[in-house]
Amino acid sequence: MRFIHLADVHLGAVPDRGYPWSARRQEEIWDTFRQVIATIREESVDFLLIAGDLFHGQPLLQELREVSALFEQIPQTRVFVMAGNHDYLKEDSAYRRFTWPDNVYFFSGEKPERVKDPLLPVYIYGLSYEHQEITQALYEELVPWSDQEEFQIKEEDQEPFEEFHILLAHGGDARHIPIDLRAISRSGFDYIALGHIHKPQILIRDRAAYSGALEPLDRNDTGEHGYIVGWTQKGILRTRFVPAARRSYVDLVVDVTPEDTQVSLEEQVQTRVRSEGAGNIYRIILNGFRAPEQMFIPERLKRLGNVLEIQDNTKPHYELKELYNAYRSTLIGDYIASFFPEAIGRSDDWDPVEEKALFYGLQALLETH
Amino acid sequence: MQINKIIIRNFGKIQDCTLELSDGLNVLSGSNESGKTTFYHFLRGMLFGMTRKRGKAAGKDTYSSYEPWENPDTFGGTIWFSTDGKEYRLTRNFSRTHHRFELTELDTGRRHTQRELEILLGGVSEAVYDNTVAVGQLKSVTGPDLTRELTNYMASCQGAADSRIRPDKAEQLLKLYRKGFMDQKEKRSRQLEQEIDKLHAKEEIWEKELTSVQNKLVEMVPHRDSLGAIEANPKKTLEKEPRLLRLQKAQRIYLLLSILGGMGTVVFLTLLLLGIPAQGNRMIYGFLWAGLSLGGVWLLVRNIIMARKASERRIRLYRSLDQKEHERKRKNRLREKLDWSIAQLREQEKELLSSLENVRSEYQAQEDLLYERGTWDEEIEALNLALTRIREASDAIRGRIGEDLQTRTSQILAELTDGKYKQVSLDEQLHMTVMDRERSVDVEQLSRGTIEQIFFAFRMASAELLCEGKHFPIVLDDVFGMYDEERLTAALTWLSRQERQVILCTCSDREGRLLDEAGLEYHELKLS
Repeated sequence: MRFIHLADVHLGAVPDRGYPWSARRQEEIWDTFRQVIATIREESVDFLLIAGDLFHGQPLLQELREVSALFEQIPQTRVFVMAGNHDYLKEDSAYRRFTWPDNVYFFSGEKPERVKDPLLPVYIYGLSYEHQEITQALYEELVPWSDQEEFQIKEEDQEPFEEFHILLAHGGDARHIPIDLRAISRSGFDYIALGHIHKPQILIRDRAAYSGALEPLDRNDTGEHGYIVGWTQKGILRTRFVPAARRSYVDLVVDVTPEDTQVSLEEQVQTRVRSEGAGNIYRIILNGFRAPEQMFIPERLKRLGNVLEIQDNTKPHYELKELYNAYRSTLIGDYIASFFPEAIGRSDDWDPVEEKALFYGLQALLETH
Repeated sequence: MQINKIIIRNFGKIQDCTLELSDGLNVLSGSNESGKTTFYHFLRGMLFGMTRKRGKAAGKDTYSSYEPWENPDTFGGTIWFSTDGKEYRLTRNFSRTHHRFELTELDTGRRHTQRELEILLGGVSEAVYDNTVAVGQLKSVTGPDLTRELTNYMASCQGAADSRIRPDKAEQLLKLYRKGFMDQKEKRSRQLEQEIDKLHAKEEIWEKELTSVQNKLVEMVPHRDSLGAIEANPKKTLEKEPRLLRLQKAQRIYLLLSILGGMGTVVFLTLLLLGIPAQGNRMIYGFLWAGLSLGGVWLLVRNIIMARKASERRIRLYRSLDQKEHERKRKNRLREKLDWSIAQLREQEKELLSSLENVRSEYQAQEDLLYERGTWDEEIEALNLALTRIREASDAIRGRIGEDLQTRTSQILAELTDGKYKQVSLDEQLHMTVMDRERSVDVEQLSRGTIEQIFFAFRMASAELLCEGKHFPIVLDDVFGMYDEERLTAALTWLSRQERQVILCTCSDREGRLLDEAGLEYHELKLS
């Protein structure tokens, strides 16, 4: 048995509206999904499990036809689809009116169902969201069960193939079907294919995982994205994450030193962007200390790649205590002291705004000095 | 506080130079400008220490300027001073490799730390020392520049307790930064608003489409309803037509009767020909036969007419039925067409509703982004906080010293000018006026000499007020170059009357001569 588990494709989403790469990203979400289908066509995959939010919003009939045509290209693969909280089954959802090809099973309601695969002794459990929010822990009571008479007698020469119980689930936070990991691990499912959380994560090795969004959708979806492949080896299930996304959102942290200038900073960013991949979408975070007289123009870093935003956390390299002593009883001394109610010293839980304000003011006072 | 003795071990170009100072007025005449400046920086370094700055700033800092070329390990010296009735010796070595700080109380031999030195200096910081204790001269030469320099100087002292700090300039700079971030924020907001507008435009188009679809439905559905259900194909209705049935039935009866009549005619005719009936009855038989045959013929004729009629009627009926069937098919076609159109429209309606829902939730998401804090919000907030804090700190200083400073400056000026000028005032627009004996005079109208005097009075007042009662020795670095002899004598007389120690650095012998002429006591020092 071999399956592909994916989730949160968000077809129809338009990431980073207003940025130059936005339209391209919208295409790439479809492209990557098509690519997965193409991969399945070449390899033999028994199941394609789509754990919710295949669409970013309410699917249109034409979109469903498009997806359906893709599923028709992989008639050997049984496709299981559920609606998540984004593409939930509204009363007049196109999902409800749609007729899927024979190889597709769509979970059509909030009541959990069990579906037996016609070919293999594999049972798929699942449901679909009929509301945007579900606060009940619907998966909690669910346990796998099998019908004894349905046991298949295997032929002598065939590798023994046991029953498999797979749960297709979406959610995991307070407003979207809370999921208790411990309860899950006791429930007895052989694999739980989860969706909703965009970051891929393994909850229990080879037994429960979020595949994560197929393509990252916004700046919070940093890191690798793709799908999970599962297969049995002598009756034991193995899984592996397969990166598939065209691009990543990358937090590029640059440690600035007092020796850095605008030019050296730009060079560093350029090199890093090249090595990480020019197609990626970056948030540049400048940390460390800059020379007090050095002011950076972070806006100019935006030309160096797909840059969403720049966070300048650099501080001028001042010795506060020395400065305070040298300027005590003057405006500069009093200004420094106004940020420290007690005594001059650095506390760890400083409000970032206060810290920034101190350095801004200090720099302005010293520069016009 | 008073400095008793200074040994400059190795500092800049001065090596192993010993100076014995007295209380009161000390006149240090050096052979050149650099020697005096070196002396001044040495004293500052001794009192407040000296460290090398980092990075690019290190190139031109005091440390590098005075680091000796030869024997840099002995970079430093010793001073003896007394304060609060106790005497101390302070030795420093500024060199990085042999760094040393040694402060000894001479009576007890006790060693003190740097922190204790700070306390002995009464909390006077390096910046305050630079501003007050060590007094230079105005740099500007021309009138308006001079006035501006003086007023800026005084404003800074009053608002920042340091003539070099310019809160107004700092404020401008901060506002400039803030503007930059606000522009960025604005740009992003505009970008998002554009996106939201695009989504709204889409929404509008779809809403219009939806309305037109729904209007079509409103017309079409009642029309379709009025047409009723689709009619099934009617079967054998012709045979069941009642009038035709009646006609056929009647015709059949006539046929039967005419057959019976015919049969009766044959029977009677046979009987007559055989002669069976009696003679007397023959007439009756004859009549009966004739009646029967006539009736039979009539019935036959009647039957034929009926059959003709029925067939005509049938043809007519067929014709009309054909018309009805045609009508039924036509109506059914119309119904089917309408049903199809309505289904299409309903489908369109649903698609549009889904699209609208999607676009609405999308622009809500974009609107949320609009109110999301961006990186610039934090910067703007920080800059605002910096501006407020600078303003607050400056106001506090002005409240603390501003008024006293003006009062004391006025007093000293009166003393220096023998009461000619009193009451210096500086308003918030940095407009300075001085009262002479009768009236208020704009500072621009005063002579350079008087402006120098105001400046001097102001510095002396600052030295007293900012050092909070600690009588720091005042170091005057060539400040009287622009004074005429009368004003210089007045200043020297004023200085010699002060309780505090004064170290007057000069390049000329004018000060010594005038002091001698006035019969004032002073101690002469030579910087070798």
